[in-house]
Amino acid sequence: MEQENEKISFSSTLYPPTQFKLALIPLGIALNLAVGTIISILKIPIYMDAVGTIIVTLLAGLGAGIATGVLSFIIGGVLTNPVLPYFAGTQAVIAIYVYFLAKHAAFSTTFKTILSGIGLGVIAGIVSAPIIVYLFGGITGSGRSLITAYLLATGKNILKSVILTGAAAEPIDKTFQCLLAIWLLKGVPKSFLRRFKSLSLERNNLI
Amino acid sequence: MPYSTHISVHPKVRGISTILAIIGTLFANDIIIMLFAWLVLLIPLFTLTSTMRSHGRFVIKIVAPIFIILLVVWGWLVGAPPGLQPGSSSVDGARFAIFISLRLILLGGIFQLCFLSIPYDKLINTFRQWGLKGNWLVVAAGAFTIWPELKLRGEQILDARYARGLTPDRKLFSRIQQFPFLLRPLLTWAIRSANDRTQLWDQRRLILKLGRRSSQKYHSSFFINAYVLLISITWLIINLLFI
Repeated sequence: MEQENEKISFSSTLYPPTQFKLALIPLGIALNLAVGTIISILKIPIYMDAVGTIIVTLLAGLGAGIATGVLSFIIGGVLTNPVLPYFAGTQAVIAIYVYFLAKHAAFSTTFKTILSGIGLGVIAGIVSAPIIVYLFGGITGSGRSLITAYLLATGKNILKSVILTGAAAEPIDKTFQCLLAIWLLKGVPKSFLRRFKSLSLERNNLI
Repeated sequence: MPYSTHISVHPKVRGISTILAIIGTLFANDIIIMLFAWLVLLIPLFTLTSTMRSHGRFVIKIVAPIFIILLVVWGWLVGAPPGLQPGSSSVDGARFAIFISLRLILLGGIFQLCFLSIPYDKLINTFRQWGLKGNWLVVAAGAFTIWPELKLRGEQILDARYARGLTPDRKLFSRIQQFPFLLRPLLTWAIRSANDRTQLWDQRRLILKLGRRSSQKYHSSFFINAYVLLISITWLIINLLFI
């Protein structure tokens, strides 16, 4: 462990750690946009727009994670869908959730990652619900709108329908995203990851 | 993003009028006024700033499908707008679908107009005027320019896999099948690239350079600034009056 810490502190002296972490933000944004775009081309009925946010939060901490998430949705708004920026708050909540869970080793095993993903989905669903209700009238145009439409047709009120839809669909998305983020990080050479001197990576057995 | 045109709005005016226009739209509840704002105010501005194509894509590809689903759900399935007894008024349900679609068009349109009309050579200056300084200015500038670089890397990985015979052809479906093989090298490249960027950041005094570039005087017309600001203030007042 001591040797490991030595390695961490040695590599972190190579470049200024703050700037190194900040330099990762644009790349996390690009990753968010790339994965999201590929999934939307595939027409898979899930959202994959937070993988970069999760990875940057694990690598570079809370501030960088929030910046990645929020900027991703602003730039996504410019490049693809101009209503995305109104969901930037959800990305900030995702970064906060991942940061605090990572501190408690919630991504150290596959089972724990799945549980964390489910929790993340429920929280993201609740946070997004008021925006979906107010801005979109409950319908976002994705496959999950069918669930909302069914619930609305059964007489449930709009907020309840959107929250229930989110709680049912989001955990699937977010679990996939957490698993994908951890799988990707496991594929990166550990010597690279050590440069981040990240406690989250250490506690989740990623370095 | 267009290069400098004769229409140049000062970044601070651009930011303030965007915020005022968004707040105004959030208060808007009259379909006719919203339709008027879109057709008479937004569309001419899109045409003047040569960004009409992006806005058209947004309306056709994103809002139109949502509008159809909203119309089916609220106008037919539920048969009433939210808050009313289901089946009580299909016409009001359909009106709600139109209202939401128009609000989406306006909110998305205002956002598009704010960012897409920034001349490419004034992007850094605009961020600086919006209060981004030092490291964060570099982050914001990098965020807007990284996408083409990542796309290029992705293409290179696909080309390499094709050259080795790991991809049967270059059709869309085959390229999509390469998705998992694309992600890991991309992430590793991203981290390596962050490393390189940090070196550049440090050695070439990137922050100072960007700071100098962005502190150049911003030339913009007083009349255009006043006009844009006036439109957004009027829009806000109209909507506050019609609540």
